[in-house]
Amino acid sequence: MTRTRSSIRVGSPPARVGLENRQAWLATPALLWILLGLVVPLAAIVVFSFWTGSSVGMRSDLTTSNYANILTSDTFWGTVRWTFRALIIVLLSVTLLGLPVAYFTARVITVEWIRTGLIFLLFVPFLVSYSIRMITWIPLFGRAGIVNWTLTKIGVLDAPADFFLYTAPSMITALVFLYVAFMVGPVYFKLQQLDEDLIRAAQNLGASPLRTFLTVELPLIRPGIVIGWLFVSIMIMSDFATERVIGGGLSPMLAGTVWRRAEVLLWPQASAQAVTLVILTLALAAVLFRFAQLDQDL
Amino acid sequence: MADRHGSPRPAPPIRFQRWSQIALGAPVLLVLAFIYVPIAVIAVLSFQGPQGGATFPLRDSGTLWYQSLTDLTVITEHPDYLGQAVFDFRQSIVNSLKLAATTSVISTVIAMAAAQAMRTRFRGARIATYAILLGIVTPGLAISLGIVTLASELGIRAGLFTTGIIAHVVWAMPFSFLVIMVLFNRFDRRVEEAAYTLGASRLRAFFTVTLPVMKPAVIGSLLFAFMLSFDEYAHSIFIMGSDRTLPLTLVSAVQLRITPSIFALGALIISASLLLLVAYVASVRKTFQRWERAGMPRSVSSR
Repeated sequence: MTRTRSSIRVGSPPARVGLENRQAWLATPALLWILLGLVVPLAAIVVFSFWTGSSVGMRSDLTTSNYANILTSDTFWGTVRWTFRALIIVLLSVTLLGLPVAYFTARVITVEWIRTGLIFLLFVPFLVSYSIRMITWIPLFGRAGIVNWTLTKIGVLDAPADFFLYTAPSMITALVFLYVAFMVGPVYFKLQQLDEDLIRAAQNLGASPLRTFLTVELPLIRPGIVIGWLFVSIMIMSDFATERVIGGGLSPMLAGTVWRRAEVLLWPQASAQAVTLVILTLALAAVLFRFAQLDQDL
Repeated sequence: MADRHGSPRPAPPIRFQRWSQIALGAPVLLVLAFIYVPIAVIAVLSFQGPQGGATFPLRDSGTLWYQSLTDLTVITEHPDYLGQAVFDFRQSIVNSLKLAATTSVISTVIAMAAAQAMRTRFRGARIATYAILLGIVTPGLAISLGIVTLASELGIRAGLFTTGIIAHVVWAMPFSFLVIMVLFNRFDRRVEEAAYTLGASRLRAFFTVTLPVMKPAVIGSLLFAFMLSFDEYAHSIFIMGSDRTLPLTLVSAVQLRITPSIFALGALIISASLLLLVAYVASVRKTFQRWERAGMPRSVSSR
C-alpha cells in the first residue's frame, strides 16, 4: 500500500537531473534575507552584550559584567526557574487537553463533514490575530468582566474577585488556550496518517479502544506529540505580551524581562538576557528536533 | 487505499461506549468555549453606546464605535460623551496594511524561489532549509532588539520600510516557504520535465506550467504572510520608530484604557480573516477535486 503524505522532505533522494541542480542559486535571496535580518542582528546582540551601557547609550569598552550580573542574580534565576515551571505546566496541560481533542476529532467523529467543520472551528481562530484574541480575555475575566459579573449575580462570590486576571494561574490558563491548537494539529495529523489496519488488528484481537490507543496508537503518534511540544515551547519562550497583558507583569517570564530592560534602553543588559533567552530556546528546540526528526515526520 | 489529495480518510472503525465518547467530547467543548466565548463577547461589546466600556451590561447600543474607527468625532462630539480617552487607530491601520502587503509579496517571491531551489535537493539544501526555518524558531524579541540596536549604532532610522520590513519578512517568509514546499511535494516534476522536453525554456516552463499548478500555494502564501505580518507584535516592538503598527497601538491602548472601539476593530479583523480563510480553504478544495478528476499525476511519494 502506498502511503500518501504531504510531507516536507529535504535532502532524501539524490538529485536526478543534472540540469535542475543549477537552480540552487534561487535560494540565495531567502538566505541573504535570513543572514541580514536574523544572523547579523543576533551576532550584533552577542557583541553588544559585552559592551557597557547606561540609558544614554552604549560604549564599546568590553566587559563581562552584564553576564556576571545576570548569572549571579537571584531574580534572574528565579525568572528562569519560573519560566520553565510555567512551560512545563503549559506543556502538560496542552498535552492532556490536546490529545483527547485530536483523538475525538480523528476517531470518534465518523461523519466527514462534521470532522472537517470541527477541524476548521478548532484551527482557524489560531490563524487569526493573536493580539486580538489575547485582548478578548480582559472583558471576560477582568474585575468588571463577565465571569465576575455572573458569579456575583448568582451569588457564588460576594464581591468581584481579582483572581481571574493578572495572576499566575490566569496567565497560564491563557497560554494554554492560546496555544493548544498547535498541539492538536500535529497529533491529529499523525492520527490521520496511521495505518488503520493496525487499529483493525488490535480491535480484532479484542483490545479495548483505550488499550488500542495506549499500546498501538500512542507509540506511533509520539513524533506528533513532540512536534506539538516543540511548537508550543518555542512560542511560550518568545511570548512576552501575554505575560504583560494577562499576567499583568506580575509573573515575569524570561522574554518579558528582556523587554523591560530594553524598554528603558539598557541595551547591553537587555542583549545579554536576550542572548541567554535565544540559547535556551534554541537548545530546547534542538533537543526536541532530535527527538522528533522533524524533517521526516511533519 | 489512502486518499489522493488530502481529503480526510474515514476513521477506522472503533466501537466506543457512550460514556467514553462524552469523556472525549468534553475537552473539545472546553477548547471551543475558550476560543469562541471571548470572540462572541467582544462582538457583543463592540455595539456599546457612547458611554459604554469594557463591561456588561451594555449601556445603550449602536454602531457608534465602528464609526469611530474612521471618524473620532462621532464619539467626542456625542452629547453623552464624558471626556474619557479615545484612540485613533487610523494611521496604524494604514501602516499595518502597507507593511503586511509588502511583506506578503516579498515573502512569497523569495520563498517561491527558495522552494524551487530546495526541490532539486542540492548539496546543502537541508542546512539551507534549517536556516530559513530559524526565522520561526528564534524569539522575535531578540531579533527586534538586535535590529534596533544595530540600526541605531549604524545611524539608520528605524521605520516601517527600513527596519520593519526586514524583521517581518524574516518572520513571514519561512511560513510561506512551508506552505509552498507542502504543495511542491505533491507536485509531479514530470509535468515540468515534459515542458522542457517540448522545448520550453526554464523561465517559460515556470510561468506556464509550474506557477499555474502552484497557484493554491502562492495564494496561500500571500494570505498567511499578510495575516502573520498584520498581526505581528514581537517582530514589531522597538523597530517601527515613529511608524506605529496596529498590534503595537492595540496593546498599548489596552493597557491604558479599554474602549469598545478596540472590540469593534477586533470584531472586524476576526470576521475579515475568517471570511478570507473560508474562501481560501474552499477554493483549494475545489482545485484538488479538479486535479483528481483530471488525473493529475502525483509527486515522488506515490511513484
